[in-house]
Amino acid sequence: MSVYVGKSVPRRDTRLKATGEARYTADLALPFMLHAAVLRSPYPHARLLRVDTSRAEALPGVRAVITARDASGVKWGVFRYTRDQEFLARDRVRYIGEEIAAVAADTEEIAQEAVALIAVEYERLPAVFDPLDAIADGAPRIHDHAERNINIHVPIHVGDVDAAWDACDHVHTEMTRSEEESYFMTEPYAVLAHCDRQGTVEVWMPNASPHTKAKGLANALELPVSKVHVRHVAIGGAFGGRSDMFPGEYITALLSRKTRRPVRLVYTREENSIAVRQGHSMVVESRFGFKKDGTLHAVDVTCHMDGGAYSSTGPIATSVPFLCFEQTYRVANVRYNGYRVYTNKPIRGMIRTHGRAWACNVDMQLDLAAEALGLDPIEIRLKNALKTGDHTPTQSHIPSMASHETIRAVAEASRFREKWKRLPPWHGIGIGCVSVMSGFPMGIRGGSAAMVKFDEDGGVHLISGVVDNGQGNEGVVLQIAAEALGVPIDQIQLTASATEITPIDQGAYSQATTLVSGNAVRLACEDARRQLFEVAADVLEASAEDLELADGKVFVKGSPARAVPLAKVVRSGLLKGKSVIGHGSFGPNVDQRREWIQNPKGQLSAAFSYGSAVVEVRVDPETGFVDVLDVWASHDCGKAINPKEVEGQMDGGVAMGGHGGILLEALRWHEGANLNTNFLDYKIPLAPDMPPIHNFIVEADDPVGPFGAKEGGLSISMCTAQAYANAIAHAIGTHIREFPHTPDRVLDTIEAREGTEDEAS
Amino acid sequence: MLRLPPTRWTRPPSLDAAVAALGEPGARALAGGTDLVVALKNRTGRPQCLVSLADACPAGIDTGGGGWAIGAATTLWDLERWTAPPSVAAIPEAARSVAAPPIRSRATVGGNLCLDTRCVFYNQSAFWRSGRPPCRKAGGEVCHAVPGGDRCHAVFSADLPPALAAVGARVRVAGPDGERRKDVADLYTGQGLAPLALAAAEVVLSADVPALSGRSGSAFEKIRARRGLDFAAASAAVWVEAGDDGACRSARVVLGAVDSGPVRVARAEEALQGSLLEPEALETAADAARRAARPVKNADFTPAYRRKVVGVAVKRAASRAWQRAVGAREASS
Ligand SMILES: Cc1cc2nc3c(=O)[nH]c(=O)nc-3n(C[C@H](O)[C@H](O)[C@H](O)COP(=O)(O)OP(=O)(O)OC[C@H]3O[C@@H](n4cnc5c(N)ncnc54)[C@H](O)[C@@H]3O)c2cc1C
Ligand code: SF4
Repeated sequence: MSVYVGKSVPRRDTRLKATGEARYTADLALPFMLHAAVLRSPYPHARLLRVDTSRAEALPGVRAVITARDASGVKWGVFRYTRDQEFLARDRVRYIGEEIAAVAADTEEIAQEAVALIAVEYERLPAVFDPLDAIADGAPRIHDHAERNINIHVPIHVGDVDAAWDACDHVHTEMTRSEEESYFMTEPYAVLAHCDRQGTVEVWMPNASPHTKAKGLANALELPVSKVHVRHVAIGGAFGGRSDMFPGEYITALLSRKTRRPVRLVYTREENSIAVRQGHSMVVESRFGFKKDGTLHAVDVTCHMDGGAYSSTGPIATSVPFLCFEQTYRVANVRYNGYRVYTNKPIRGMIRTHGRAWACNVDMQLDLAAEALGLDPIEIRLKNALKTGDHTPTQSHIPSMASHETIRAVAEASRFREKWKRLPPWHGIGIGCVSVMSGFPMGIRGGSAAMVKFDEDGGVHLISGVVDNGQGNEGVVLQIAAEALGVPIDQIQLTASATEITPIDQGAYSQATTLVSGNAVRLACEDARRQLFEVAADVLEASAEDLELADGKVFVKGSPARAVPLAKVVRSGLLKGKSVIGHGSFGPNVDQRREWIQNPKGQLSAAFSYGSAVVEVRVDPETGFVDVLDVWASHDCGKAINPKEVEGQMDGGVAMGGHGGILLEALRWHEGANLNTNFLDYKIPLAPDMPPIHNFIVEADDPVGPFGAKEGGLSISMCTAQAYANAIAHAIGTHIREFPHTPDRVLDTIEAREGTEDEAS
Repeated sequence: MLRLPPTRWTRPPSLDAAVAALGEPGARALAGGTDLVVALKNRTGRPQCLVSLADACPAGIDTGGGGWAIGAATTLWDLERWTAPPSVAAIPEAARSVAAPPIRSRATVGGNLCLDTRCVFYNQSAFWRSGRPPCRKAGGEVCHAVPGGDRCHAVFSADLPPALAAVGARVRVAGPDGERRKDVADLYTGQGLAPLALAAAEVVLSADVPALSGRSGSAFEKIRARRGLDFAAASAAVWVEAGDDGACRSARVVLGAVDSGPVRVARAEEALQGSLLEPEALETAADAARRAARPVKNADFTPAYRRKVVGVAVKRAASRAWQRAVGAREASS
């Protein structure tokens, strides 16, 4: 019986955040600190003919001005083969917002004034803003190395797709498009950097992996990793948009190195929107072939993603939408050609929804096939959903996946079958499913380790590389530690993130934290327990195997009266020169030879979760507005370490993937300039917009995850998107091929349909 | 983060002092600041001195004189809580639809009446605008919304003015030459560049709402992207009065957010007058509204869509106003 795991204990940071006491990077200040501002390109594509900083340097209060001349020239890219971005543009700028120069000054106002005094002579170059235009003949070339502006090509082919169509009874081609999403973290990006006179650099910034940041920054600054300390700080959201390196941290560190003073850079909301990361827009062409009984037999998908000006996490971002598909529905013959294309737009990265045009295309195909073959949407999903023991086309074994349970949970709770095709006019119901991985191969940075040490009064100190950017990762490892040790949560202190203390950790992306970092913490605690029992065996005159630790006391199993407090055990150990320090190290069982482009096969992840959602809507046929009546979401997260947290992730998933992703959110453009960079113009759903949500947690107890836990939340963000789109299609009698389904698109589709009856037959 | 430009600030103790302060070159009135502060940060307006109206304009709803005088300093938070009779119910309804509660707790009636027109190419940061030539509204000679166009099409999207105009409210204005009153509709030029028909150093003191017949009702309908917060993509305020024969005797229909000023649609009013607001009459009024709207590509949603739904807004506002009128008549008989 677990005592701490599975309980909805309040998070340690909740009160701090609610009262405003939590300190984010922009709240931090150091003595003698300077303020930075960045000069960015106002043009989407231009050659830099001259950058004259003399007037800025002459402004009183300015302490340093830097340009590419001051930079090391080390290029950033997540992989060796994708290093294409200098942190300060050298001779060419490729998107609106690209960093050209930066200033450190006594105040932020002076720094901004100085930036305006930097004179830049540009030679405007032709620019391209759409991935299909960018690969067309005669398109302007954005990088010398990229033929037809193709940045990444992920080719996957399993089985024989061309031969498989003949064996299919229903074959259908679909084309979907989606615009870019933006993350809109509550906290705009900010960096505080301090290069001291010993040549070490301390850095605070919102991030998803302190160790990745430390290494990237060490490379760029040409320092050993030991000289770069990324510190712990409260972080206001990531959603995939804090995952790799940004010029901000390099620029701030360089300014600090130059001035020998701490420097803080705080982005504007607009900078956070255009100069960190955005989601990819994409065009997805799919061909799906099914057998008469509804078995999915062949799939061919070509996707063109707008990657923006640089690579960032390109190969991963190009692959993940496909991977989520191949884990969700079984298919013997599949081909994927994913192209990430350079354009003159801001840089695109990973985002929690991983391509609505991709994911929704799949579930649209399933619904259309069900219709054509006389099945209902539930049946066709139960027939094709992967489950425990299956293999994906690219050779991942699925150790545990309660796909059917999640589908049934939402189908039953929503009374889907009673409602399907029987709802009043303009009402609709739809379902979507997805499987998400808990981590993927990340080479030397794919594992995590933890340590646990004890104070003389029995206090416990846990050290883990885990990073919490809002989702509650710190709380998760604390609950795991309490359970594994048998010590109340309050008695445990956590040191996390700080890179000079904590061991390497993969970071808070790829949904790996609970599984990987959580397991490392569990192992460290188990190791500590073993050592404590050895010491306590003497004290209690019992054998170590017979001992138990609960509620902060060590006792003999079966006779709780023969007990000794943890503090006493720790002190007895210290007297004998035995300081108990537990150590745990965990690397997930993934195929390290797997590579995104060269070798996309082998075990991808140690665990795979599953999510299903049903959504019921009412469409206003006069305005195209969609009223969402109810959302039912069900998630196999293995085990909910903290059920409230998992529900919070599920609610957030509905908001971001479903309501925002399908009804509201899209970046708007004018000649490469982002038109909606603020909270008013970019439409994230707000509290009054949200529908009632009914969450169902399915606990299939993952064999690998700590206490059975794996990914929690991302599945829901994706599958609700698909359910929203299908529900709208059911309500208006046809699918909409463009995402998001804003009211103008819904109304246009309704009007175009009137008379044409395209697919309702 | 975006910083405010260095700007002087004063808080004159009286209306006269405020009017005097506003007479200085580069002075600009500041009420709740919910729009003006954003403009300052974006450097779209660069006043040299901000003149706070906090002690110059009245706050609250004054019921003397057979109507209501809504003070310019009244917050929308307070206005939305006004239990207005059905005839002027459109006013709190419009107040409630502005922005979101935290903004409404600061935003004032005067600021809403004097809200500048908006455009997605204009309401941007200085950095954003630096990448292209300044548009007309920013002092240049081009228009990014309507390339080749000869005027500014910035959108008039304040929510209170259509509602106030529909119920026939007047505004009381004070300036260097003393006080004057004019119809709300006459406060607007219909020009995107300079939407307000106010002389230099004039301030709005109150919106004066007449006591209307007990057989009338009004309503405000706003189409916006999100329930939680958004400017109108299109809006309509309708006032209707029931005659003795049970049919509509008179009507006023005013559109918001589909042109550079509030748009009164006489054709729509004619369609409602004499009708029982049956579907055909509503449809005719909606069509007239669609024809009167002049949306361009500079706000949420496509212009074609905004044109379509402004008609829907008219139908819905008219139906609700009519229910209120008829309900009020039943209650009073
Ligand atoms: C996120 C956001 C959403 C918004 N949504 C809406 C919306 O949905 N609908 C809407 O209508 N508005 C909206 N607004 C705009 C604004 O908040 C409101 O219009 C508000 O009522 C303005 O009032 P204020 O007192 O804050 O005006 P201020 O910002 O102080 O002033 C606005 C303008 O009016 C002038 N002014 C103010 N008082 C007077 C006076 N008495 N006499 C003469 N001139 C005066 C000022 O000089 C300035 O030019 C929104 C604003 C934000 C930031
Ligand atoms: S309508 Fe044209 S001129 Fe007016 S603000 Fe917009 S871009 Fe500028």
